[in-house]
Amino acid sequence: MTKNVLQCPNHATWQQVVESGAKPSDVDLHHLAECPLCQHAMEQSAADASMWNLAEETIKQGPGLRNQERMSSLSKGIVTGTHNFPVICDSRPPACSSPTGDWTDAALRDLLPPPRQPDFLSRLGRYDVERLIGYGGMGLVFRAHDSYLNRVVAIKVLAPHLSRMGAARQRFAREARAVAALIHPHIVSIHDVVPDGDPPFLVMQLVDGPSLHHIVETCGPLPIDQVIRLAVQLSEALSAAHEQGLIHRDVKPGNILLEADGQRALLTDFGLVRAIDDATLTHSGIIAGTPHYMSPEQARGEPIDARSDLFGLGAVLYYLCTGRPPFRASQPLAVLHRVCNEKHRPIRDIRRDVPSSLATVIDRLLAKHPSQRYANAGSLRAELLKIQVGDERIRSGSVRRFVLGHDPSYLRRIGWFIGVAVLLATAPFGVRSAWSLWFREKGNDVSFTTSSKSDVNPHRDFSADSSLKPLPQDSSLFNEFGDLQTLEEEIDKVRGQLTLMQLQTNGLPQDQSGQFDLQWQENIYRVRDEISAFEVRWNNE
Amino acid sequence: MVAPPSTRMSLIARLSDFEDRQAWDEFTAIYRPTLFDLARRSGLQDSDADDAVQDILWAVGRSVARWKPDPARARFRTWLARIARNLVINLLIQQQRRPWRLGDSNLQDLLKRVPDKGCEAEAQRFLLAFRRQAFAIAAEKVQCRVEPRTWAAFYRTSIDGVPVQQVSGELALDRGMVYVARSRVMRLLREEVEAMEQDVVSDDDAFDALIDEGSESL
Repeated sequence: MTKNVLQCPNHATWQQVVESGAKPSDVDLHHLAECPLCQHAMEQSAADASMWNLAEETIKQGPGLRNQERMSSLSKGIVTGTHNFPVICDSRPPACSSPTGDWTDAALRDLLPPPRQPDFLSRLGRYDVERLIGYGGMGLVFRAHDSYLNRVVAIKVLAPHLSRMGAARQRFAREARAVAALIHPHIVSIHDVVPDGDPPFLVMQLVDGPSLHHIVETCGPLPIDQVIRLAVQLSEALSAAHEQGLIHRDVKPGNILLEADGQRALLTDFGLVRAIDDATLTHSGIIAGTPHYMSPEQARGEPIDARSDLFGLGAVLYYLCTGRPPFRASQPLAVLHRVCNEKHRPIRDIRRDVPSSLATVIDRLLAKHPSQRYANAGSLRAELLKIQVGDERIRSGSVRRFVLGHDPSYLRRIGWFIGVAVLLATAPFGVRSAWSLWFREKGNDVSFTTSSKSDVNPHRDFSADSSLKPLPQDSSLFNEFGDLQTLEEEIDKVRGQLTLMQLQTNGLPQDQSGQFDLQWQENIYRVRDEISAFEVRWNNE
Repeated sequence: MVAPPSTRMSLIARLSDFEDRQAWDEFTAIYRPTLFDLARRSGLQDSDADDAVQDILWAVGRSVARWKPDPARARFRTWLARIARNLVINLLIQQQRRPWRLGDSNLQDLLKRVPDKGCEAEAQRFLLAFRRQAFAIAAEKVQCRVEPRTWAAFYRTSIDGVPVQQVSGELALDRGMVYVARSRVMRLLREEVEAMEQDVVSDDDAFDALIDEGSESL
C-alpha cells in the first residue's frame, strides 16, 4: 500500500512528527520537501507565525543576552589600543556559553606551541595546557597540568601584542619575581615565571572559584558581614604586599577571586599591571584596565604610593555593598573625570543596612587626596576589626530577642546546636579530646603535634585572660534549658568567645599559623554562619 | 550558575526552599535584561538604566525577605513574577510623569499595587520586552539540548534566512528533514518561552487575590 507523493497526509501527522521526535516515513519526508501546504502546517504545529518572527528577531541579535553583556561591559572597562580584551576573568563559565570570548581552539593553537598529546591544547615548558579559563587586559589564563609535580595550575600567557615589546617582557619578569617572594593566604601565589618563553608566561596557583566581579554580577551585593570579613582579608593582603614595597595598582573586583566556599578571598594579578599600562600608555596613549577603581592620583598620571591601593579597595568595598562602582559614566574618560572631581553617592543612600561605621571607612578610603585616607593597610585593618566586633554585638542582640520571644520546647530542640558551638569554642583551651573528636567526625586530616598551642605562641594563651575561661563541659547544660536566662547567657558567651578568638587568630603572624589557623577560622565562621542561619529559620517559624 | 549559598544576597539566602532559590536565579536572569531593555527604550542612558535596574531588583529582593511560604497561597515563583510584573507596569504607567529612578519607598509602594485593568498598552510593552529575553534564554537552553545538526537546520533557515535547498546541502540532510528539524527546534523554543511566561501572563482576578494575600506582609 503506497501513498501518492502528491497526496497530503493528515496534518495531525506533522504535529505528531514535531512532538514525538520519531522519524517520519520516507514518503512523507519526500512529500514535505515539495509541498508548501504541509511545510506551513508543520510550522504552524510548532508555533504560530508571530513566534517564528519573534524568534528570528531576538535570536538574530546574537547568542545570549545582548543587553546583559552590554550592561556588564560598563563595569568591565575599556579596551587597550586596537586589541579588544575586555578586562574580566571569568573562571566559572555558565554551561553552554563561552567565557572566553571569541577565542576558538584553532586561534589558540595558532598562538601557542603544539601539545605533547592531542588531548591538550598546548605544551609550555613542562606544563600541559588544558583549556582557556579566562582572559583579561594583559593576557590569557589557562588551566594547565604540571607534569613534574603532578598538580593543576593556572598559566597566564602575556598578550601577544605585549609579548613583542621588550620593555613589557622585562617588567613582566621583574614584577613576577617580586610577587613570587610574597607568600600570603590571601594572595594568589606565583609558582614559576618564564619571561623569555615564546610566548612569555607565568605559572600561578589555581583558585577554584569565581571573581568577586562575577559573583556580584550574578548574585547581587554581598551580605554586610561577608563584606567586612573579605575587607579584613584584603587589607591583610595589601598590608603584606606594601611591606615588601609592592603596589598592586589595579585592585578591582575582577582581580579578587573567592574560593568556592565563599570564605577566602585571594588577590591576584599583583604588580603585573605595571607591565601593561606603561607599555600601552607610551604606545597608544590609552589607559589599560577598568577606570572605575582607579585612584584620582593614578587617573591623573601622578606618582602613586600604597595609598592608591587603599582607594581601589574602597571602591571595591563600595561595589560589594551596592553592586555598582562608586563612579560611573557611559564613557571611560567621563568616569575618570568623576573619580578626580566628584564625590561619590553616599553608600547608605543606596543600601540602608550598611552600618555607618563601615560607610565611614569606605568614605575615608575614597578620599580624593591620599593624605586623607588611612596611613597604611594595617590601620585600615585595625579599623575593620573594630567594626567586625561591633557587628557581632548587634547580632547577639538579635539572639536575645529571639530567645526571649519563644517557648522552652523550641529551646530544647536547639540544645544540640549550642552544644556543638560550645564544643568548638572550648576546644583550643586544652580540651584535646573534644578537638580531636570534632576532626574525626568531620573527617579532617589535621595533625596537631604540639602539646599546647600556648607554648608556641603567647597570643594564643587564652586562659591568661579570665574572661576567656572555658565553658563547663557539663552535658546537662546543653540538653535541658529550664531557664531561658541561662540559654541566653550561653549563646552570648559563645558568641563573645568566637569573636575574641577570631580576633586573636587574625592577629597571629602568618608563619605560625598555617593550616591549623585556616581550619580553625573556617570552623569559627561555620559556627557563626550556622547560628545566623538558625536565627533566620527561627524567625520564620 | 549556582553560586555558593554564602555568597549570594543575604535576603535570597533566607529562602529555605532550594526550588525558590532557583526561581530567584531564573528570575534575575530574565528580568535584568528585560528591565534594562525597557529602561533604555524609555530613554535612559546605559549607566542610568543600569542603576534603575539595580534599584528595582534590590526593591524586589527586599520584599522577598518577607515572603512566607504557605501552601495555601501562591507559589514563590508565581508570586515573584507577579509582583515584578506589577512593578514594571506601574513604572511604565508612571514614567510619563516621573523618571525611572525612584526612591526605595516609592518602589515598595509600586510593588504592592495591582495595576488597573485599563493599562493594556503597558502590559503589552512589558510582555514583549519579556518575551524577547525569554527567547534569548530559550535559545541557549535548546541549543544545548538538540543535536548540532538539528540546531543548525533551524538557525540557518530561520535566523540566517538561507533557503532550505542550500542548508540541506550544507548539512547533508534530506530537505524534508530540514523542515522537520527546524520545526522541532521551534517547538522546543516555544515550550521554553511559554514555561517562562506562564507565571507572567496568567491574568485572572483570582490570581490577583492570591497576590494580595502574599503581599499582605509587605
